[in-house]
Amino acid sequence: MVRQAVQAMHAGQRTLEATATDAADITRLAKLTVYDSKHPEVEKAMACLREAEREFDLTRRRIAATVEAANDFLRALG
Amino acid sequence: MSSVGDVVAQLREVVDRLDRTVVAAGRAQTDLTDGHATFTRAGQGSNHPKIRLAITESDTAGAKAGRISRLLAEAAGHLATYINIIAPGAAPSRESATHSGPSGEELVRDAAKRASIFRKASRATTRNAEQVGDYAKSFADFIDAVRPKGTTSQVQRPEAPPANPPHAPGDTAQSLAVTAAVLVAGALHLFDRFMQKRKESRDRPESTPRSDSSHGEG
Repeated sequence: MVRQAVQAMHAGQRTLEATATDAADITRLAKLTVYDSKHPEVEKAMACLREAEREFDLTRRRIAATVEAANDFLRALG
Repeated sequence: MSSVGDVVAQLREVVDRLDRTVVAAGRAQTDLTDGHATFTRAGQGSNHPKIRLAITESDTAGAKAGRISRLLAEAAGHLATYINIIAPGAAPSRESATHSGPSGEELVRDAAKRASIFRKASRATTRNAEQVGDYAKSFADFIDAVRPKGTTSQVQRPEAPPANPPHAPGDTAQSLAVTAAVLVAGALHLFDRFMQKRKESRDRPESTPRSDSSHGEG
Protein backbone atom coordinates (compact mmCIF):
# COMPACT_ATOMS: atom_id res chain seq x y z
CA MET A 1 0.00 0.00 0.00
CA VAL A 2 2.91 2.34 0.76
CA ARG A 3 4.37 1.56 -2.68
CA GLN A 4 1.03 2.35 -4.27
CA ALA A 5 1.00 5.70 -2.46
CA VAL A 6 4.55 6.41 -3.67
CA GLN A 7 3.43 5.69 -7.24
CA ALA A 8 0.58 8.17 -6.87
CA MET A 9 3.10 10.77 -5.63
CA HIS A 10 5.31 10.11 -8.69
CA ALA A 11 2.30 10.44 -11.02
CA GLY A 12 1.41 13.75 -9.38
CA GLN A 13 4.99 14.90 -9.72
CA ARG A 14 5.14 14.09 -13.45
CA THR A 15 1.95 16.05 -14.13
CA LEU A 16 3.20 18.89 -11.97
CA GLU A 17 6.57 19.08 -13.79
CA ALA A 18 4.84 19.28 -17.16
CA THR A 19 2.50 21.95 -15.79
CA ALA A 20 5.44 23.92 -14.36
CA THR A 21 7.19 23.91 -17.75
CA ASP A 22 4.00 25.08 -19.48
CA ALA A 23 3.37 27.76 -16.86
CA ALA A 24 6.95 29.07 -17.25
CA ASP A 25 6.52 29.30 -21.06
CA ILE A 26 3.18 31.04 -20.69
CA THR A 27 4.59 33.45 -18.12
CA ARG A 28 7.36 34.42 -20.56
CA LEU A 29 4.81 35.01 -23.32
CA ALA A 30 2.62 37.04 -20.95
CA LYS A 31 5.59 39.20 -19.92
CA LEU A 32 6.47 39.89 -23.56
CA THR A 33 2.87 40.71 -24.38
CA VAL A 34 2.17 43.14 -21.56
CA TYR A 35 5.71 44.51 -21.63
CA ASP A 36 5.98 47.62 -19.47
CA SER A 37 2.31 47.69 -18.52
CA LYS A 38 1.71 48.99 -15.01
CA HIS A 39 -1.99 48.24 -15.12
CA PRO A 40 -3.19 46.85 -11.73
CA GLU A 41 -4.77 43.79 -13.41
CA VAL A 42 -1.52 43.00 -15.19
CA GLU A 43 0.47 43.44 -11.99
CA LYS A 44 -1.92 41.18 -10.06
CA ALA A 45 -1.71 38.54 -12.80
CA MET A 46 2.09 38.66 -12.76
CA ALA A 47 2.15 38.43 -8.96
CA CYS A 48 -0.02 35.28 -9.16
CA LEU A 49 2.29 33.74 -11.77
CA ARG A 50 5.38 34.50 -9.64
CA GLU A 51 3.68 32.98 -6.60
CA ALA A 52 2.67 29.90 -8.61
CA GLU A 53 6.28 29.48 -9.73
CA ARG A 54 7.41 29.58 -6.09
CA GLU A 55 4.72 27.04 -5.15
CA PHE A 56 5.89 24.67 -7.89
CA ASP A 57 9.30 24.58 -6.18
CA LEU A 58 7.83 24.08 -2.71
CA THR A 59 5.50 21.31 -3.92
CA ARG A 60 8.41 19.55 -5.61
CA ARG A 61 10.27 19.56 -2.27
CA ARG A 62 7.23 18.23 -0.40
CA ILE A 63 6.85 15.39 -2.87
CA ALA A 64 10.56 14.54 -2.55
CA ALA A 65 10.28 14.61 1.26
CA THR A 66 7.22 12.34 1.11
CA VAL A 67 8.89 9.79 -1.14
CA GLU A 68 12.05 9.81 0.95
CA ALA A 69 10.12 9.26 4.19
CA ALA A 70 8.06 6.46 2.60
CA ASN A 71 11.21 4.69 1.37
CA ASP A 72 12.81 5.04 4.82
CA PHE A 73 9.67 3.54 6.31
CA LEU A 74 9.77 0.58 3.89
CA ARG A 75 13.47 -0.02 4.71
CA ALA A 76 12.73 0.15 8.44
CA LEU A 77 10.10 -2.55 7.98
CA GLY A 78 12.75 -4.67 6.29
CA MET B 1 3.16 44.35 -30.53
CA SER B 2 1.95 46.34 -33.47
CA SER B 3 -1.65 46.90 -32.44
CA VAL B 4 -4.20 46.43 -29.69
CA GLY B 5 -5.62 43.56 -31.77
CA ASP B 6 -2.28 41.72 -31.66
CA VAL B 7 -1.95 42.26 -27.93
CA VAL B 8 -5.50 41.01 -27.37
CA ALA B 9 -4.99 37.94 -29.56
CA GLN B 10 -1.75 37.04 -27.77
CA LEU B 11 -3.25 37.67 -24.33
CA ARG B 12 -6.21 35.50 -25.19
CA GLU B 13 -3.77 32.74 -26.08
CA VAL B 14 -2.06 33.25 -22.71
CA VAL B 15 -5.43 33.00 -20.93
CA ASP B 16 -6.45 29.86 -22.86
CA ARG B 17 -3.15 28.15 -22.12
CA LEU B 18 -3.31 29.18 -18.47
CA ASP B 19 -6.77 27.64 -18.24
CA ARG B 20 -5.28 24.34 -19.42
CA THR B 21 -2.53 24.49 -16.78
CA VAL B 22 -5.24 25.06 -14.15
CA VAL B 23 -6.82 21.75 -15.15
CA ALA B 24 -3.43 20.00 -15.27
CA ALA B 25 -2.49 21.27 -11.79
CA GLY B 26 -5.86 19.99 -10.60
CA ARG B 27 -5.00 16.54 -11.95
CA ALA B 28 -1.65 16.63 -10.15
CA GLN B 29 -3.49 17.59 -6.98
CA THR B 30 -5.82 14.59 -7.37
CA ASP B 31 -2.83 12.21 -7.64
CA LEU B 32 -1.12 13.74 -4.60
CA THR B 33 -4.34 13.66 -2.56
CA ASP B 34 -4.83 10.01 -3.52
CA GLY B 35 -1.26 9.32 -2.41
CA HIS B 36 -1.93 11.02 0.91
CA ALA B 37 -5.13 8.99 1.45
CA THR B 38 -3.23 5.76 0.73
CA PHE B 39 -0.40 6.70 3.12
CA THR B 40 -3.04 7.43 5.77
CA ARG B 41 -4.62 3.99 5.32
CA ALA B 42 -1.19 2.34 5.29
CA GLY B 43 -0.16 4.15 8.47
CA GLN B 44 -3.25 3.32 10.50
CA GLY B 45 -2.17 2.07 13.92
CA SER B 46 1.46 2.89 13.25
CA ASN B 47 3.37 5.60 15.04
CA HIS B 48 6.50 5.17 13.01
CA PRO B 49 7.89 8.71 12.48
CA LYS B 50 8.66 8.05 8.80
CA ILE B 51 5.12 7.05 7.86
CA ARG B 52 3.76 9.96 9.94
CA LEU B 53 6.11 12.25 8.01
CA ALA B 54 5.01 10.79 4.63
CA ILE B 55 1.36 11.41 5.65
CA THR B 56 1.89 15.07 6.59
CA GLU B 57 4.24 15.87 3.69
CA SER B 58 1.92 14.31 1.09
CA ASP B 59 -0.99 16.25 2.60
CA THR B 60 0.96 19.51 2.19
CA ALA B 61 2.02 18.57 -1.36
CA GLY B 62 -1.62 18.05 -2.38
CA ALA B 63 -2.70 21.31 -0.78
CA LYS B 64 0.12 23.16 -2.57
CA ALA B 65 -0.84 21.71 -5.94
CA GLY B 66 -4.35 22.99 -5.26
CA ARG B 67 -2.93 26.41 -4.46
CA ILE B 68 -0.96 26.39 -7.75
CA SER B 69 -4.16 25.61 -9.61
CA ARG B 70 -5.96 28.52 -7.91
CA LEU B 71 -3.07 30.94 -8.53
CA LEU B 72 -2.97 30.07 -12.24
CA ALA B 73 -6.74 30.52 -12.46
CA GLU B 74 -6.47 33.86 -10.68
CA ALA B 75 -3.73 35.01 -13.08
CA ALA B 76 -5.92 34.00 -16.05
CA GLY B 77 -8.84 35.90 -14.50
CA HIS B 78 -6.82 39.11 -14.05
CA LEU B 79 -5.53 38.91 -17.63
CA ALA B 80 -9.05 38.31 -18.95
CA THR B 81 -10.22 41.38 -17.02
CA TYR B 82 -7.35 43.36 -18.52
CA ILE B 83 -8.28 42.16 -22.05
CA ASN B 84 -11.84 43.34 -21.48
CA ILE B 85 -10.55 46.72 -20.30
CA ILE B 86 -8.39 47.35 -23.38
CA ALA B 87 -10.90 45.71 -25.78
CA PRO B 88 -14.34 45.40 -24.16
CA GLY B 89 -16.02 42.06 -24.79
CA ALA B 90 -12.87 40.49 -26.31
CA ALA B 91 -12.27 37.97 -23.50
CA PRO B 92 -14.67 35.08 -23.07
CA SER B 93 -16.66 34.73 -19.87
CA ARG B 94 -14.58 33.36 -16.98
CA GLU B 95 -17.45 31.46 -15.40
CA SER B 96 -16.87 28.11 -17.06
CA ALA B 97 -13.26 28.44 -18.22
CA THR B 98 -11.82 25.77 -15.95
CA HIS B 99 -14.84 23.62 -15.18
CA SER B 100 -14.95 20.36 -17.07
CA GLY B 101 -18.68 19.77 -16.59
CA PRO B 102 -21.50 22.18 -17.44
CA SER B 103 -22.85 24.31 -14.60
CA GLY B 104 -26.55 24.53 -13.80
CA GLU B 105 -26.64 27.91 -15.48
CA GLU B 106 -25.11 26.46 -18.65
CA LEU B 107 -27.60 23.61 -18.67
CA VAL B 108 -30.50 26.06 -18.39
CA ARG B 109 -28.99 28.20 -21.15
CA ASP B 110 -28.55 25.15 -23.41
CA ALA B 111 -32.10 24.03 -22.73
CA ALA B 112 -33.37 27.51 -23.63
CA LYS B 113 -31.32 27.39 -26.83
CA ARG B 114 -32.82 24.03 -27.75
CA ALA B 115 -36.34 25.33 -27.00
CA SER B 116 -35.62 28.30 -29.24
CA ILE B 117 -34.47 26.00 -32.05
CA PHE B 118 -37.68 24.00 -31.65
CA ARG B 119 -39.77 27.18 -31.81
CA LYS B 120 -37.97 28.20 -35.00
CA ALA B 121 -38.52 24.74 -36.52
CA SER B 122 -42.15 24.92 -35.48
CA ARG B 123 -42.57 28.32 -37.15
CA ALA B 124 -40.86 27.02 -40.31
CA THR B 125 -43.23 24.05 -40.39
CA THR B 126 -46.18 26.41 -40.03
CA ARG B 127 -44.89 28.46 -42.95
CA ASN B 128 -44.37 25.32 -45.04
CA ALA B 129 -47.82 23.99 -44.26
CA GLU B 130 -49.32 27.35 -45.21
CA GLN B 131 -47.36 27.25 -48.43
CA VAL B 132 -48.64 23.75 -49.18
CA GLY B 133 -52.16 25.11 -48.62
CA ASP B 134 -51.44 27.97 -51.01
CA TYR B 135 -50.02 25.60 -53.61
CA ALA B 136 -53.07 23.37 -53.33
CA LYS B 137 -55.32 26.40 -53.77
CA SER B 138 -53.43 27.67 -56.78
CA PHE B 139 -53.46 24.17 -58.16
CA ALA B 140 -57.26 24.16 -57.85
CA ASP B 141 -57.35 27.54 -59.60
CA PHE B 142 -55.08 26.17 -62.29
CA ILE B 143 -57.36 23.17 -62.85
CA ASP B 144 -60.38 25.50 -63.01
CA ALA B 145 -58.60 27.58 -65.60
CA VAL B 146 -57.51 24.72 -67.85
CA ARG B 147 -60.61 22.59 -67.34
CA PRO B 148 -62.13 21.75 -70.73
CA LYS B 149 -65.35 23.69 -71.26
CA GLY B 150 -68.51 21.65 -71.11
CA THR B 151 -67.25 19.15 -68.56
CA THR B 152 -68.85 19.11 -65.17
CA SER B 153 -65.97 18.13 -63.00
CA GLN B 154 -66.00 19.77 -59.62
CA VAL B 155 -62.70 20.67 -58.14
CA GLN B 156 -62.47 20.47 -54.40
CA ARG B 157 -60.82 23.53 -52.94
CA PRO B 158 -58.73 22.67 -49.94
CA GLU B 159 -58.90 25.05 -47.07
CA ALA B 160 -55.73 26.78 -46.03
CA PRO B 161 -54.55 25.77 -42.54
CA PRO B 162 -55.37 28.26 -39.81
CA ALA B 163 -52.52 30.71 -39.33
CA ASN B 164 -52.52 30.34 -35.56
CA PRO B 165 -53.82 26.93 -34.58
CA PRO B 166 -55.19 26.97 -31.05
CA HIS B 167 -52.86 24.18 -29.85
CA ALA B 168 -50.15 24.09 -27.29
CA PRO B 169 -46.83 24.99 -28.97
CA GLY B 170 -45.60 21.42 -28.55
CA ASP B 171 -48.52 20.08 -30.63
CA THR B 172 -48.23 22.68 -33.35
CA ALA B 173 -45.51 21.06 -35.42
CA GLN B 174 -47.17 17.65 -35.33
CA SER B 175 -50.69 18.85 -36.17
CA LEU B 176 -49.36 21.07 -38.96
CA ALA B 177 -47.35 18.20 -40.39
CA VAL B 178 -50.55 16.12 -40.47
CA THR B 179 -52.43 19.02 -42.09
CA ALA B 180 -49.66 19.40 -44.65
CA ALA B 181 -49.74 15.68 -45.44
CA VAL B 182 -53.53 15.79 -45.91
CA LEU B 183 -53.20 18.81 -48.20
CA VAL B 184 -50.49 17.13 -50.26
CA ALA B 185 -52.64 14.00 -50.55
CA GLY B 186 -55.57 16.19 -51.61
CA ALA B 187 -53.45 17.95 -54.20
CA LEU B 188 -52.20 14.63 -55.60
CA HIS B 189 -55.77 13.35 -55.75
CA LEU B 190 -56.84 16.48 -57.63
CA PHE B 191 -53.94 16.11 -60.02
CA ASP B 192 -54.89 12.50 -60.64
CA ARG B 193 -58.48 13.48 -61.38
CA PHE B 194 -57.29 16.25 -63.65
CA MET B 195 -55.12 13.85 -65.67
CA GLN B 196 -57.99 11.42 -65.93
CA LYS B 197 -60.35 14.12 -67.18
CA ARG B 198 -57.75 15.23 -69.66
CA LYS B 199 -57.35 11.69 -70.94
CA GLU B 200 -61.13 11.32 -71.24
CA SER B 201 -61.41 14.57 -73.14
CA ARG B 202 -58.66 13.44 -75.50
CA ASP B 203 -60.53 10.20 -76.13
CA ARG B 204 -63.67 12.18 -76.97
CA PRO B 205 -62.37 15.05 -79.08
CA GLU B 206 -65.79 16.09 -80.37
CA SER B 207 -66.95 17.14 -76.92
CA THR B 208 -63.88 19.27 -76.17
CA PRO B 209 -63.27 22.44 -78.15
CA ARG B 210 -59.63 22.69 -76.97
CA SER B 211 -58.67 19.12 -77.81
CA ASP B 212 -56.66 20.02 -80.93
CA SER B 213 -53.70 21.25 -79.02
CA SER B 214 -53.55 18.19 -76.77
CA HIS B 215 -53.64 15.85 -79.80
CA GLY B 216 -50.30 17.14 -80.95
CA GLU B 217 -48.65 16.02 -77.74
CA GLY B 218 -50.16 12.51 -77.75
